[in-house]
Amino acid sequence: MLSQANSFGLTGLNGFPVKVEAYISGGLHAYETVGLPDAAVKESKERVRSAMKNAGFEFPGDLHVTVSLAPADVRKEGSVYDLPIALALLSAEGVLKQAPLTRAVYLGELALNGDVRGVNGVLPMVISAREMGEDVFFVPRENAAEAACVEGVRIFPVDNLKQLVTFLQGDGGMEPQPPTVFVPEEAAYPWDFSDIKGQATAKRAAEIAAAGGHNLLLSGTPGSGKTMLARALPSILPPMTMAECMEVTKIHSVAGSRGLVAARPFRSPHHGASAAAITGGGPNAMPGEISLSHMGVLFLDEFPEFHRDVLESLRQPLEDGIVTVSRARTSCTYPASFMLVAAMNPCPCGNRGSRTKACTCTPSQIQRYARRISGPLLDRIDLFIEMNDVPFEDLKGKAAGEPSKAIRQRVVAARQRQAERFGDSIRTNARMSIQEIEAYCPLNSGCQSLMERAFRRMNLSARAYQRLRKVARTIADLDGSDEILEKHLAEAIRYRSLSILGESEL
Amino acid sequence: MIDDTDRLELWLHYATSTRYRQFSAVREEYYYLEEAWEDVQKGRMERLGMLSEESRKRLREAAADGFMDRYVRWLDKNGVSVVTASSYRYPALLKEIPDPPPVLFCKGNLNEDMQLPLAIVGTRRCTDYGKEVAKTFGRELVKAGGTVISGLATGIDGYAALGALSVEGAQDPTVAVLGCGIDVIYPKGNEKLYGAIAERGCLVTEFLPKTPALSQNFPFRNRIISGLSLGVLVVEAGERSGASITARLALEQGREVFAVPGRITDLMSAGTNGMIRRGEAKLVTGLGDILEEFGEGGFGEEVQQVAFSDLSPLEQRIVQALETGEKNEDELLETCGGGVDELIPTLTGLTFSGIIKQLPGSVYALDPLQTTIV
Repeated sequence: MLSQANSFGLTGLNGFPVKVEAYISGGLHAYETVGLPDAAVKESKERVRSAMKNAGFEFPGDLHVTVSLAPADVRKEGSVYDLPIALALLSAEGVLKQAPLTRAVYLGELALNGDVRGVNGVLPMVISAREMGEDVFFVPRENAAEAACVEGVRIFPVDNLKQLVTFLQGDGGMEPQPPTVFVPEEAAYPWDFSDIKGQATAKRAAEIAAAGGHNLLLSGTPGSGKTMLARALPSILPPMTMAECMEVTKIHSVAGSRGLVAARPFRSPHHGASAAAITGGGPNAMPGEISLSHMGVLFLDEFPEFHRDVLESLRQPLEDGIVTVSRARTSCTYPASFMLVAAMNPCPCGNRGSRTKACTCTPSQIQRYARRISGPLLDRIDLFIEMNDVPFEDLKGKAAGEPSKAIRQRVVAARQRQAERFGDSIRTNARMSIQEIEAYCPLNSGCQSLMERAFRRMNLSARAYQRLRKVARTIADLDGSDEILEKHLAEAIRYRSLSILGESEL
Repeated sequence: MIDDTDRLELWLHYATSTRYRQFSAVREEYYYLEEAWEDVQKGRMERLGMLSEESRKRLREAAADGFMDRYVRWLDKNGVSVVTASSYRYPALLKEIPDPPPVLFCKGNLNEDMQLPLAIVGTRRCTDYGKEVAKTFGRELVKAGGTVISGLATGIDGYAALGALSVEGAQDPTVAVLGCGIDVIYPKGNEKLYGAIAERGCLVTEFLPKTPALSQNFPFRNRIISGLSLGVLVVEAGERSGASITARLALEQGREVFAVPGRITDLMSAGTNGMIRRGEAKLVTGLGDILEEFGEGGFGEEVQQVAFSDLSPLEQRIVQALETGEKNEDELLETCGGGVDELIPTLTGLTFSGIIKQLPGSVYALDPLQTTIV
């Protein structure tokens, strides 16, 4: 008997339909899986056999079984085909009718006892399938919530094989998953700005960075609160919209997380990370940290300690907001529009600029340390800030700072102004092109002369000139001003001065 | 020569000697020193409680009949003039250091308008290389119109002064600061040089006449050497030497420090090479390297004056806050008020105007080398 069941596969974030065909014939007993299966797909035979038997069905063990995954020339990966293979076999045996198997999409891994387990990448598959006209899906219960946030589909959560077969035979027992309602405000962030005491300038810089989508470099003595500030940053970014949430969840789904990602991602890879871990890679061209922090914050602590090739690989995604991961068999493009927050010590010993501890580094050591970050990379960072260490007595005495919610309101208002300017809700000042800078960041005569003085004193590059204008634009947006005023530019100039970097000492 | 106001200050200085805190405490207590003189003569010591037992004893001793007359007569006879801190002849640069001596004894002519005063100091046990370099720099500096400040010690200091004096016809080419009384010649071997400087340059000391050259005097002396100078050039110095102390004091006083490099195997260059390596001193291979520091946009006449009343209220509060020492932005925010979005542009503006400067770690300080606030 010949039978067929619908399923889906993924390359990168794009799904493609997979037809799972099964043919049971007489002859010498054998079991073949064809259609470029990877090891996990080949092993499905053992899971399917055990699951079918333990669910009380026959496994055609003494017959010749051929399972084909079409299209035959695309590689199939993972355990997502266990369920459709089992259903196709049951249909070939005559237990199930053919019709329901081709009218819905089946996804899921089988446990040996017949239970259905969650798989990766369900959300992007459902989205792609929806675009191709599919509207009924049977997915593992674990994945039901993320799948149900797609509009216009019916999602049936599956617990085990037996239950599904009963339902498909027309005996009921299954309810569709109610649509997942997206409530962005529910996202709870572990760190709040009110937890950070003092550090007014650094907090202000963080607010500007959040408002304009600018990248940020924090330099400060150990224990000055760099990490805390970075961790609190997602809490002042505007809440994610449904569309943004879907895009983020898609990437995280591929990488193996379940459920909706409603909070802005915060990723903080260790400085030993390889370029592949950061930009994406592996045999399956999986998304890397920069894609997992899409729409969120990528925090690189101990910035100069990262391998040179890792740092350099950030340059292109920082500019384009996407990354293309090419491997021998596949080439995937992932979104990678993240805010980079880099943190570093002011010198190798860490105490430069501290007023409580003495720095033991020589000028040449400091220079060598700073030189580990290349100029082109620094040119992509708009805001530099130096953080002071806070004496313990001050920590005890200081009142709590402004809560993240209040700061976020200002950030949202500033983003609103940008959205009106660009006619695009996701574009930010940081991504303005040269033409847009000319159009939206004119400098009045006062600003011009201030800029000239800044150039003379700080020995700035032409790139820095554009960056200053962008940051000044964001500060003006936060101030609710249409025009860039001198005070806005003066503040922007402050955030370009970092004594460790030769360029910028005031 | 020595007028009545000078006499009173000399009297107070005689009693307190180098204990300047006591000196200034009395000056604060008495606006007119005549009152103090009268009080002491009449035995009313109530207002002088801040003085130590010994100082009060000496104060009474010196207020006795004829003592000050004998003192002043002795100074005049020995050709010693006195420059007090309140005098217009007191060097302006010296007034800027944290603890300027209230009285200077001078032999020779202390030019109140010294051009380009530069200290040339170094080890007493100098090599031939150091001797050559010290003489050359001394000579070249005077030729360029400058003044050599040194310590009249054997070695580098002495050779620098010799180099300065070697320029024929130069006016006030060198000043030597002593670590002993003005009438004490130390070291003995420099007697000739002592005479030559007294004749053509100036000998200066803060110590009372007849004070012997005690080793603890020299660190005090060193602060005057750097205090009189725009910068300090260290020619040769061992790892731990008096010249390094002078250089450190100069840095603390905000003066430039220069060092002549030497071979790494020379013990007497270990100090100077170390200063260069640590970034404490600028490496100097010729006088041009030094003059360049004080040329365009440098020290001296380039200092701009800004009226305090011309500043905005927030700027005034910032300047006032920084007068008590450097502060970071958080501290400024606390003391000066205003929002962070107001404070930061103001700080940038003040920095660009040269009124304040930014130090590593987002710390701000006044920049008196660029701006005086009046």
